[in-house]
Amino acid sequence: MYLRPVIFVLCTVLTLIAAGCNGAQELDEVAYILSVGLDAAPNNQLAITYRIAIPTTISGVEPSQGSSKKSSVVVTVIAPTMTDGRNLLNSIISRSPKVFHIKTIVIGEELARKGLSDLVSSVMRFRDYRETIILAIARGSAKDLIVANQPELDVLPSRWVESMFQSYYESSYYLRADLHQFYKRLKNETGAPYAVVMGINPLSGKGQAENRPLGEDKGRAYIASQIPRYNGNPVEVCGTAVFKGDKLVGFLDSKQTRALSILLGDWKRGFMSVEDPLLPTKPVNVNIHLSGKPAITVDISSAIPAITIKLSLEGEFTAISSGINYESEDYKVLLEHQVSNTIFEQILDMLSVTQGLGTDVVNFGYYIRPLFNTIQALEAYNWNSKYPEASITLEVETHLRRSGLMRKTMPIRED
Amino acid sequence: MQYQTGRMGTAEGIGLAVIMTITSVFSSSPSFILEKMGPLAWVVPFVAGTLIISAIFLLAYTFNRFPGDLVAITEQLLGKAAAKLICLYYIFVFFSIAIFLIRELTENTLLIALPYVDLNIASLWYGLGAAVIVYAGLESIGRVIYLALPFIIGLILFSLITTYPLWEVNYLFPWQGYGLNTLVENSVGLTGMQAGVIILTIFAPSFQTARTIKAAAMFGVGGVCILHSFIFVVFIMTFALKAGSEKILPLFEIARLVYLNRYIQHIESIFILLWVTIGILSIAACLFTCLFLLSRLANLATIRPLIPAITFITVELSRLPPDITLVVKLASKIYLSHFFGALIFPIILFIAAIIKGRRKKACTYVR
Amino acid sequence: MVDNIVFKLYRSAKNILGYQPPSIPSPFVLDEQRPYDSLPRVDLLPNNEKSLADLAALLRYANRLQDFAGRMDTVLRSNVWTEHAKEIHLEFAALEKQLSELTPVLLRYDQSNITHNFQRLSTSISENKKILADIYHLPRNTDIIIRDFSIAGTPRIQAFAVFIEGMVDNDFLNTSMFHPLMLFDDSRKLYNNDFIERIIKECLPSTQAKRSDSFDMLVASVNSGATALIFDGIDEAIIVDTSGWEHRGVDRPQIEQSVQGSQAAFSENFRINTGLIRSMLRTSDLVIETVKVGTRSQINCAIIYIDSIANATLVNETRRRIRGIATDYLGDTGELMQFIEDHPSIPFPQSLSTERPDRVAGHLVEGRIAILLEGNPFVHIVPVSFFTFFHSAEDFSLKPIVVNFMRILRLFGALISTLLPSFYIAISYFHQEALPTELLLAIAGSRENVPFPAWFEIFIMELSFELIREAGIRVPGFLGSSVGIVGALILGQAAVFAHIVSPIIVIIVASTGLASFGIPEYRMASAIRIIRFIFLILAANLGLVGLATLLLWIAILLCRMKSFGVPYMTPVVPKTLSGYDVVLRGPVFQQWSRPDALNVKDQRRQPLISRVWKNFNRRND
Repeated sequence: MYLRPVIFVLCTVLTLIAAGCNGAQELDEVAYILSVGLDAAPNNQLAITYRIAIPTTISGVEPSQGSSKKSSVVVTVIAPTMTDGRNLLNSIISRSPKVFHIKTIVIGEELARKGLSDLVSSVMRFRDYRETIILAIARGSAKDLIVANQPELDVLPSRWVESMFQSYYESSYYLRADLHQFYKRLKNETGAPYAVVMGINPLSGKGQAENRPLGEDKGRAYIASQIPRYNGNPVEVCGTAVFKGDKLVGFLDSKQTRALSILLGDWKRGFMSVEDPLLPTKPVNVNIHLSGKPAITVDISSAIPAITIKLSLEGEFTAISSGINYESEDYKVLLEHQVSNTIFEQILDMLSVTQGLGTDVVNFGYYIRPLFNTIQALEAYNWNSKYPEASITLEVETHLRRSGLMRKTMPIRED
Repeated sequence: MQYQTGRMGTAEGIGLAVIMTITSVFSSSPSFILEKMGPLAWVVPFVAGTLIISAIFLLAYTFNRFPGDLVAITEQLLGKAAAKLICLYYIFVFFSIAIFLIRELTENTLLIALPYVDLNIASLWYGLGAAVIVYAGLESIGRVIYLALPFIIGLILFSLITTYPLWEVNYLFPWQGYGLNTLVENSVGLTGMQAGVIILTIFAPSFQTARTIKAAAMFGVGGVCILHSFIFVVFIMTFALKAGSEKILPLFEIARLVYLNRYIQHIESIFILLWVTIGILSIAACLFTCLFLLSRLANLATIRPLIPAITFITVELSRLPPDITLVVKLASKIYLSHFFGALIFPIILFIAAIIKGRRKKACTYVR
Repeated sequence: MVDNIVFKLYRSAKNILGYQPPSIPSPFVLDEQRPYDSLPRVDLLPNNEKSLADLAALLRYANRLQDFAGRMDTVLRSNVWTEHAKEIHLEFAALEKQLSELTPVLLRYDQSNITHNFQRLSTSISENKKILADIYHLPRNTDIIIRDFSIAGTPRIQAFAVFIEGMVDNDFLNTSMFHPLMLFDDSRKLYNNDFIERIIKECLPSTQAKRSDSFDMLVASVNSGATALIFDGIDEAIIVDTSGWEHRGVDRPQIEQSVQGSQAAFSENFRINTGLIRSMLRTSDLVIETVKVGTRSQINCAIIYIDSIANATLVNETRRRIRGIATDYLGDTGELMQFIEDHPSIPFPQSLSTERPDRVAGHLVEGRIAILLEGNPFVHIVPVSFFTFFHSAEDFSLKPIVVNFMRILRLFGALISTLLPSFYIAISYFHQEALPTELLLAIAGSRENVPFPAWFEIFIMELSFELIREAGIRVPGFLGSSVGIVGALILGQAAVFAHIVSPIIVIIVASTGLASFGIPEYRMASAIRIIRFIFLILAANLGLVGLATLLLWIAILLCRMKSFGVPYMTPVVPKTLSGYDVVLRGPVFQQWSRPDALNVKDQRRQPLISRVWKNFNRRND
């Protein structure tokens, strides 16, 4: 009675077993690539840098040969395409390299200026890559950047990437720019793709050669590798790289990136030091955030489109060095005006840069979509060509609502 | 016969209606329709759903006047030869759906789940999975789907809603897309894809009343259409028109985008459980219907000896097209032809019923 | 047409190729269209006006009789008998004639009383016996004993005693009741004076004896273990308290412990077990039928049900199946159930086995049937659904929130114990991108020194866990429980240090084992243990695709199974009304109806408002 089902089950099991393991791989047979760097190499080749994780460091198990404290190893291969590079990597690394845990792709500046269409097409098609990978542009070469990256707080560089881009909103001096938004803006009708800028800092305590203090903001604006500091991880992340199509055309520094994140509605909070209106040598620190998404309307009735932006900011005091009683209504107005002006100028500066480059990074074209009835009409309008001449009207309004732990400052005793 | 007459209730009916329509949710249809219609694509599932539900309602009206299942009614209204022809046609409909489902499921497996498995192993495995379930019978299929329905819907909705940070509403405009005239031709294709809902009328005597069939069609097909439309909306909002038209598996891509924090990411592997289950169940339901109609046509006493043979034939036929683009092209053409079975033939029957049944009174509901 | 070779060949080919399935009888399905499922409704009696007229006639006759008796009284007292003799005779004859006309009415009135409980005893002993047989569903009920005897005296008085064996103290019955009544003083004249009073005062040396003339009191006392003595020619009965069933002489339950609730369990003695059930359900509708199974050695097997609730078709089917067992000797309830189950080869249990009488009583009240075999303390309850196996004995004695949390935990535990190892294997072999990066690297690093593949590790650890569990059952005394889990974990730890397995495997196997202990029913846990290995094989071979396929096959199997005609996954699919007690449990005052799938005779269990005190104002008394 059981003979037929038993024979059937045996045949099925034998067939399954004899057919092989269907691509099964043990966890310790795989080499996990955590990040990839791409540079332009001579003869139309690419210099591909791979950062591969060493599992025993994190698990605490000592490997059979002497232990090394490093958690990852970096290999650079010169090959014409990424896939060929992976083939060559197989001869260098003992385990089979797999890319499904890549957290970030770093591209050298030179390669980015040539165009990213090759990279993007291969990354979007192969199933192992995802769209949540961070896209970063390196000032200089990606190989140097990846080698120089020695995270001190994190054991694994993948953890460094994830934590870095989870805490970007604390200052918004860089954005979380992943492949998804890059590709979306690359292919759709309006909007310019952007990426994050990383650079190697010389750690000499000197910043960029010349920086322009902007408006009443006491802080200076930097792009990655320009921050004046000593010690720490040589690699820093600051600024945004702006693309036209798939080619890199320009950079936005930290303040401009912050302005961009304000207009995108993505700005959560940030500190700002402005000049004291009544005592310009002293700073006043405030902690401001958006009270609602910016109200952007675009008027396309005339030949030149008119963009109107209304911003409303809220904040609190965090330091008043001069001791002037800005907490009261009469003086507060001055400070609010000061803050509004600062933000106003920074945003206009960013917009003028983008209009000069002809790239609509803020994607104002997103707001004209409801005004059309069909896709053909939208494409016929060709927003991207009209953006450089668009007139922008900006209104910024600030309300400082809280004053921290002190309600007024008593003067320091003069002896 | 394999089933007991008159015992299946609304729950199993909803299960059957859902399984025949929900496979289109996992297919490439959003990207095709998006390419042709633009942001108007989300209306298409509603139109297709309405057409299918109205077809079932027309047939339910017919059942109130003439007893029996679809083949028996055709015999009464249009004659014996027409009944045999229609039987043959529906065998073709369900057989083709089964073939394309096996092929699509195998291709999906090779693309997403097990990239290095042999094609033969994958398609034979799905054939085997479906064949074992056909032995169990249609009632079990309906029950299992009804049991799994909350988990299926919950998982799909979870993955859709957790991509909320990436939604950009304005990409749903310009709302007319490439023009309203594109609506009709694309809805026809999707309606044909859901032609399997006729299964409710082929097994009509097994359901309790005609009201059960109507309720099953309305809730089953309606629910899936709302879900399908929601997937379209989220897909358009997340990927927008141009980037979205490139994707081959839209729901899978949405699932890959989920990134809430360091731990809730890479959840698309859980989806494999979902679409494997749904795929095998729908293949089994189609095969069962096909075999049942075959036994009606040839007056066989039972379908059990035929199951291994027909499964093997289906698997072999599914391997005929050499590459995936040809599969998709063929599939869209054949699904378009199913529109006849989905909507046109019920209308013909309905008109014939009105003409012939003018003097017949409608039977009262049992209980 | 001529019958020539062409047609003959065609016919023989058709016989070979055209397959005719063997004719087996259709499976038993408990469905709704049977004729004798529901109680006839009392309020739908036809001829309401006719009964009203009958009752009016009876009332008039009674009034007339009362007047006549009053007149007789005055006539006799005032000593004027001779003048009124003739008319009194005439009136008497007329009354007698009217009585004979009204007797059919009286009879119809008496017989139409469905429940005998408000009936009074009659003076005829055979009439009383018939009424008692009706009340107790004799001769089906085999432990209600009607014992005829005659009482010593002049003349010898015929009587019978009614008691429930298993609930009475047999010694007491013999020495203090039958002995004095049957064997002592032969010369008493008991029919003089008040017969009952004399019997009680002179002949019954027992602690409690009272008299009653109505059946409801008699039946209630007999149900509680008393003995009723009914005599020929007397319309009253004596009720003697003889209760002596076993209480707390039985042991604690071995595997179904509960924190709150009774701690009694069945034992091996047949009458003790039936007595325990009777003590829980004191109603005359409880029927305990005894069937003998086995040809060489006949063992008693009891089918227990509540007659006014359980579906009669179900009872007949159970009886038919048990009577249809032909075997030498059947000693174990598990064997018995395998003989009569719908799917004996599928490891999922189709009957609930319990050793607690309170659980049995709860299920009997819902309309199920209990099967008890002599010599085995486990009682099996049919028909059950899949979700019943995740209910525990004290689910109704705790509050709903607590109980629902525990039930969800059990279901979750069952899921984990089935799927966790295969899930780990599938993801670590085929879908490595689903793990978070740190976890992935930690596992990969810890596997560095382990020489075995992951599926082999899990296989070894699972096998050793099963071995330890099996060994723990056989280790005697107090060592048994400690060997189990502690041994497993220590073994696992030692294996990790020896680099035979990696640490995460130990965690997975331990959680799986612990989760499987959370399932209340032992056989369900065993079934899950078996299918866990099949899941492992498929997951190692085909990843999540194999896992999903097997999960689907198991679900189809569960949806196809029946337990005595009731689908296994009721009430989820097929959808039936369930009373709020399937996966989660509702409050006790909202359990209005019994499970719909059992097609019981009386659907309603409690009225809509079951806390009557809540809706009435508090009074000051």
